Amino acid sequence: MTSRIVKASPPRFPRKWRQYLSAYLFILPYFLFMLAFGIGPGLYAFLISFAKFKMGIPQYFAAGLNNYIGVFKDYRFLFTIGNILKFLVVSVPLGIALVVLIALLLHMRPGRFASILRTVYFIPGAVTGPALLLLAIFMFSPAMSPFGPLLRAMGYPSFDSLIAPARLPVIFTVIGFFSGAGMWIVIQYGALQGVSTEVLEAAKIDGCNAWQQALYIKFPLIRPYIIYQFILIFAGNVQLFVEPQLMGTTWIAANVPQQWSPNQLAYSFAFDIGNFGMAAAMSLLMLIVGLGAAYFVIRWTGFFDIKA
Amino acid sequence: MNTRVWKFAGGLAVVLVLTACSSAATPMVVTQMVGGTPQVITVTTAPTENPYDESAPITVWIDQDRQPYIDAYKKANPDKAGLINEVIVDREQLPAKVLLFNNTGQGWPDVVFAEPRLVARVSDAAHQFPLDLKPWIPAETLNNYDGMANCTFGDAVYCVRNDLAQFVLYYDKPLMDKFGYAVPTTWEEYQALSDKVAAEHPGYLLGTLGDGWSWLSFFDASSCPSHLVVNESDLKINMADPNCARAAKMVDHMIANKTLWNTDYFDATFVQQMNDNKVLMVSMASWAWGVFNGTYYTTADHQVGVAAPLKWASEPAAVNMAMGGAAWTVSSHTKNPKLATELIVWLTTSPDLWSTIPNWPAYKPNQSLFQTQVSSNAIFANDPFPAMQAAAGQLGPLDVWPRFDLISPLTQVVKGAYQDNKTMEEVLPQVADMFTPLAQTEGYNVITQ
Repeated sequence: MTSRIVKASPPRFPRKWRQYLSAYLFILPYFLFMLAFGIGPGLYAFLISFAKFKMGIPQYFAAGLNNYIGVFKDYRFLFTIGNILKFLVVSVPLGIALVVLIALLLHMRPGRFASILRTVYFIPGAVTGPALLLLAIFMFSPAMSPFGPLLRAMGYPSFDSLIAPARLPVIFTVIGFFSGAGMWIVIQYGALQGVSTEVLEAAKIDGCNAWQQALYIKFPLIRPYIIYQFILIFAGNVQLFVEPQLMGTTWIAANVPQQWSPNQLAYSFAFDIGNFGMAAAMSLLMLIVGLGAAYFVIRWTGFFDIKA
Repeated sequence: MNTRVWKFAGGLAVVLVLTACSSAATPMVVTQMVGGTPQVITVTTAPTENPYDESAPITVWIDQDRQPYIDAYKKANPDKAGLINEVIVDREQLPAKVLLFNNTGQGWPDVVFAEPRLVARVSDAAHQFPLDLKPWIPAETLNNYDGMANCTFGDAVYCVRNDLAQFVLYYDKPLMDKFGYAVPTTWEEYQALSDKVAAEHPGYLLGTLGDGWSWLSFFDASSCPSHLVVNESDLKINMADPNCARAAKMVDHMIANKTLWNTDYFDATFVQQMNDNKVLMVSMASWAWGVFNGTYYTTADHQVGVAAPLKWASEPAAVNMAMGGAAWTVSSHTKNPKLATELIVWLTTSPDLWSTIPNWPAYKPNQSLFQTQVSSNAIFANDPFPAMQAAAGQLGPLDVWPRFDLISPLTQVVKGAYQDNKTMEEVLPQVADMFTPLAQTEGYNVITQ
């Protein structure tokens, strides 16, 4: 016979679930949005990357690996990958170095002046996408730009003479820095605020000057935030699209190749030749690049083990 | 990470894949046996299976300038006004949007105002957008339009022309008289004049070369086969053709003697040259006179002379090109082709409408209305109508565009040449390098002979 001992009725949720319920609830809104706008489209892209397209209509699993092969064999594939690599090499280290430098400088001299400057740095971030590019066109047009004399001194008498394929990585870096740096300066400044004043005072008593404090105390302590910035900036910059796309339109007609970045090539696959499968394959390749870079940086730095 | 979290995420991913599949399995999708294996195929209504409905409303895509056209139609046909839904769009998006509509199986506009180059792009195998108009518009009407070569694709007629944008030679009559110059009639005379201007009146200009359009104004006029559509599958690209070199040598000569400006027609710096009366002549589209009223260029009364396009001395007649010149096309997905085709015929033929439009009418019987309009206009120093009419009849085979954009690549070549201090002759091979893979991507067989 089975034991007649009646167990207390089990709780409706396992104890561990209950214990973590509030945490799950807190991440739920983010998770839903990530599903709808991140994971969902990603899975859909994975699905259609094996689809053949006829009249823009998918025939699922009819293409096999042909879309991936088509992407690799496209005459612009290596060109766009090369361009984005050049852009990443210029934009990521330069962006991080300048942001950290400015944040450290601001933190050396706290007070009203620094907080005003912090706000000033933040303002360009409010201008986004196409409007930002319009602003950039004015800034790069010697006839209209406040930097006109500088541009002319550098040997660029006109917008057309400045915008050339070889200079695009630097030009897009400048545009990207002024739109994105403000936010990161505020974040790194916030990280610096979190550095314990006792540590800084101890350093001061031990004879550290402001620069030594910045270099040997503050900088190592905000390292996790720098890694975080690297991951996000890298993932963002890999997807460069708006700047080259708009500069190449008939209306602006700068000397920018029609498909300069990999994302533009994906767009062209979809909307010039109607092959959404190749576009999905190309997008997934860029996703792998972004995720791969993040993975290696996390492994290499032991990001999740660092105690901020 | 906690294994439980991974399981949770894995479970969600499975759910998501299932929902993605099931949401794709709407009534539009069927599974068919193809070669013994099941294949999922999405079905759209084939154009011929459309249940036509003469009371179905239609959506018309236009730009801001075409809104008065539609308003005029609604006023003239109050019984149809309620059926017409007009939407102002950027028509450059048409090819991309058509693909999205094909993908979702709905949303196509019924009537679109667009250049034939855009119609060409939506008529390929990936888009299959336009309706063949031949069953819907009587042949005697279709025969009355100029420029229909650009609307004819194989046996099908995919659009009717709204206007032609044939190039003519605009010149500054008082300035030419003051300097004692005669208006050239050949490219050779044009180049010879440039030497005279450079020597006698340095700083004065005979045109501009700074973007794709202005490049075409010289090279298409020289019959340089940079994009010659032979038929739907063959495209001839041969930049080694002597016709390319002769045009390149001429413009290089004029860039060197500083009688050509280096921007597009509407760049602020060229507009400044125009308004400073530094431009003796410039080839531009027939609609350009409409922007001489201060929209771009300001001109005094009786300042603008209009001459026929220049020709090469060895050839019997000029070979002309166009900058724009739009058309109306109808969707093959429309529920109401009768109303859609009635509308586009009215919009292109109505005498009341066309007595006020500044564009050259493609519908031949309306060209006299255009004549009435321009012949009495005070900005002209001579009657521009004969020159424009001659120019309209000289549109060459290169005015028919292939299924890809010519302007952006050409603009890159031209601007790159200036940046690298190269001559236009030196960069001719770049044009072929740009166009050839684009053409192949679009499914053309590229030939050189």
